[in-house]
Amino acid sequence: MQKNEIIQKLTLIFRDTFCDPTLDLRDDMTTNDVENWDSLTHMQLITNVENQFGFRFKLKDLNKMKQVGDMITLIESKFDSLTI
Amino acid sequence: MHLKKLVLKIMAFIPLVILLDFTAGYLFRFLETKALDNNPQGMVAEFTMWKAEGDMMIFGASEVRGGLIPSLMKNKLGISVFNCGINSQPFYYQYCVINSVLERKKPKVIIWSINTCYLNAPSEEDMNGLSVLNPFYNTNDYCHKVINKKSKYENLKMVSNLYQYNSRIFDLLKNIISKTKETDMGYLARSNSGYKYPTLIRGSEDCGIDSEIADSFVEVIQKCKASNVELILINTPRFENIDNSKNSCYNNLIDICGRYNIPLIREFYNSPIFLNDSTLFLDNIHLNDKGARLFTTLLCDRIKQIREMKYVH
Amino acid sequence: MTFSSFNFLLFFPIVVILFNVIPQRGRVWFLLIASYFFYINLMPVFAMLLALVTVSTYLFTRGIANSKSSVGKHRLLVLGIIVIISPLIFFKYFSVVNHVITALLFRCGIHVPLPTISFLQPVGISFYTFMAIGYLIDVYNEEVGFESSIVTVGLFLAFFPILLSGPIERAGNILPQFKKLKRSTDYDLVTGMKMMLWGYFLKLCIADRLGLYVDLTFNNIQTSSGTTLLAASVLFPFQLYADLGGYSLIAIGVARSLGIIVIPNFKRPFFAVSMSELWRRWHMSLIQWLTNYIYTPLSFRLRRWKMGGIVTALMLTFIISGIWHSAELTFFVWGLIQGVFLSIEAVTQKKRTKFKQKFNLNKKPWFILISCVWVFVLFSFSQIFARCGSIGDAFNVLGKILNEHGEIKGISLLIPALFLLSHLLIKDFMDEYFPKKLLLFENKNVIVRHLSYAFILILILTMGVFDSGQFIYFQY
Repeated sequence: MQKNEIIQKLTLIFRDTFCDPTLDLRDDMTTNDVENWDSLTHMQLITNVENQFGFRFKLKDLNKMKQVGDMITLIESKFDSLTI
Repeated sequence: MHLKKLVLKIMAFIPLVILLDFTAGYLFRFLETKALDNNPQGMVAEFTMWKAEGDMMIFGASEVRGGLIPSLMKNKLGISVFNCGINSQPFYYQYCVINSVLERKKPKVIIWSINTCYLNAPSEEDMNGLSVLNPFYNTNDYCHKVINKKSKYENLKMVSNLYQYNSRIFDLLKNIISKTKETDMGYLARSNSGYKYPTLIRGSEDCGIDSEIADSFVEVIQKCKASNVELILINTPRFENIDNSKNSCYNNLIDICGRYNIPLIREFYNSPIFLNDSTLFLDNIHLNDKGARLFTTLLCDRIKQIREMKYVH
Repeated sequence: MTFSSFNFLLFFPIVVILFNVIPQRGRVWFLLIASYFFYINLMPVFAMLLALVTVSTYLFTRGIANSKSSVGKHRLLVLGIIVIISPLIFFKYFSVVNHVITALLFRCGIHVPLPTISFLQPVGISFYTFMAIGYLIDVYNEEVGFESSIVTVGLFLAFFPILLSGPIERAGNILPQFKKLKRSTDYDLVTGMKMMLWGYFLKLCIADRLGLYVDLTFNNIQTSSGTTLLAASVLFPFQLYADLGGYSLIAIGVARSLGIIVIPNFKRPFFAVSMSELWRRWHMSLIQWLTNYIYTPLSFRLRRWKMGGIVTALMLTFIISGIWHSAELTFFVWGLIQGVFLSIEAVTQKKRTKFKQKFNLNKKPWFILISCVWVFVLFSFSQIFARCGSIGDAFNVLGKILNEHGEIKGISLLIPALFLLSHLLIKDFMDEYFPKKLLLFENKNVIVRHLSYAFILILILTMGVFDSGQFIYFQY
């Protein structure tokens, strides 16, 4: 999957999870930047991402994702490892 | 180096605090006189130290504040009486005020209400309660000595006027703004709410004796004698049946009284007259107004006897 | 000694001065020795326990870092957590477990007199145990590297400002700071002392004054009217905020004076518009710990259960929070209540968000006000359980509040407390909605700043509760 595709799909997931149809993603975006994004809704985000992209995160992955850019990179790597 | 600037700033701040502390002292003393004028019955310690007088003066804690009625005593004994009783103040407070009153104005008789564990070491709460004497720390040697016993660094803390008057500001403002019920020469009548009377407690007691307190107790006795003031010690009635026969503190106290020939009127403490009637009591330790009337009458008769015996001899 | 003892007023400047005077390489040692000195002054025997926990933490983190197999790492992690948490469980819960076992056996008709030992709890154990476990897990997750100097690890767990009551720090935040301890800058010292001043005001003037009223009422539930109990229940959360918040500020300020930045613990909690937001503003270091090490892993593992997983994780996390505070049943119930509130919020979250967006409620002041008040009501309701000694008492209080009314007592205790509390409320209000508008400690004018410091200092000296003797001035 291309990075643009990932970002597009992810944006839709974010908009749905956090009930904000105008949300646009940035690499440096964190929980502080989005209303309704806290540890509660984070888990819903994770599940939605897993369902939409068709893979499962590991617990270690969670700790590595400090901002949205990290999440995008991680998803990319999941697909890279699949194609390789 | 910025640290130099910081040190200078701190050095500029300290005099500001000292000046404010100093000014606060004057302000508090001014407020104190206003409070004492408006509501003397709310400023018991100050009134006792500065103004209280009578041929007979009564000292002790809440049991005597609500237990002896000066107007009744005046009728029976024919002398002026003032009740300097104050809530929650054990030995060291009384030590300070009795000694100070003796220096200011010698009464003819001092009645001092004590309990069976009077010479026991004070608790932390007891010592904390001595803050009521803070206003006299700088001017009164007894208060100075006793307050310094509160903690290791108390003399350092008391340098600050602001600290001395800690929490007093609320008291002072309350006494300036409002007036509490007037007392009968220091007596504050108590009545039971809703006819709830206490139930009798039984047991035995044996408290230890604190040697510093015992020495200070003797000091007061000797000062009374030297000032030619008649000292009479009393145990007020309590609604309890406590066996004090093995109470070393109480036995010591009785010994001291014997040694210095000080009468200790203790027959009313556990007399059937009181133990058989709970309606005389507010709770196990305090008499109510009805009980105070009875106790005052009985005590006056006893005092008359003691004084007559003295004159005969 | 604690922060409120006079000894600390002597200890603190000496430590700061010596810290800045000794050479850089001696500073970690110096702080470690000062921290143990501080702890030994309070509880000499338990300094040994702290040292033992430190050594265990060091050895297990070293084992995990050096282990080559993931199975080995995992085993060491589990064993390490068990070893480190055992003293906490023993000291805190022994008597409760004992009691429960005895009661159960009794029910089965077995009368076995189990030994009942009553002993003091080591102060700070809840805090340093959590810090040690957090560090262990972080090393396992490779969030933070293994610290090879046992002196630094020792300081991490014993660091005197945060040792007794937190904030609960994370290794990743504080170990790097211990590795390069610099001299305090003047900005550090001034910022630190300002925090300490405000912290002392919160603790001595507000928390302890409110405490006089709250304690008097809650210790005499039978004779207190419903109105008085209501007043005390409303004031109790403020007392807690000022108490732990104040103490935390002193801790953070002391650390700051040494140039060390410690995470904040409170962020104006009563301006939260939901319970979940309250928990992002109240005792933040504890919540972050619970979120990182309990809630997130748990909710992650249970994510297949969707909302059920989140609710389970929430309930468990807050029950653990409850029993971490105290072994009493009332705290278990308190934790349970928090879990229920947050679960309800989680379940209804999407609906509520859509509703609020439809009417643009989040921007409306009246809605914000109602939300804050509602959250406060829920929180103070739950705190009644934490404050009462037993569940029975708590229900008694609630019953009285709802049914009985009567006069409010203790006005002479209440008025000074409210006067002092108003300072905190005004400051928090301005900081929340109009930041930078009311600057006193931060004012550009040095005279305004100094007068502000002096004013707060005066309030502390004249109205702080220094001893329980204050009570005798005010009788019902």
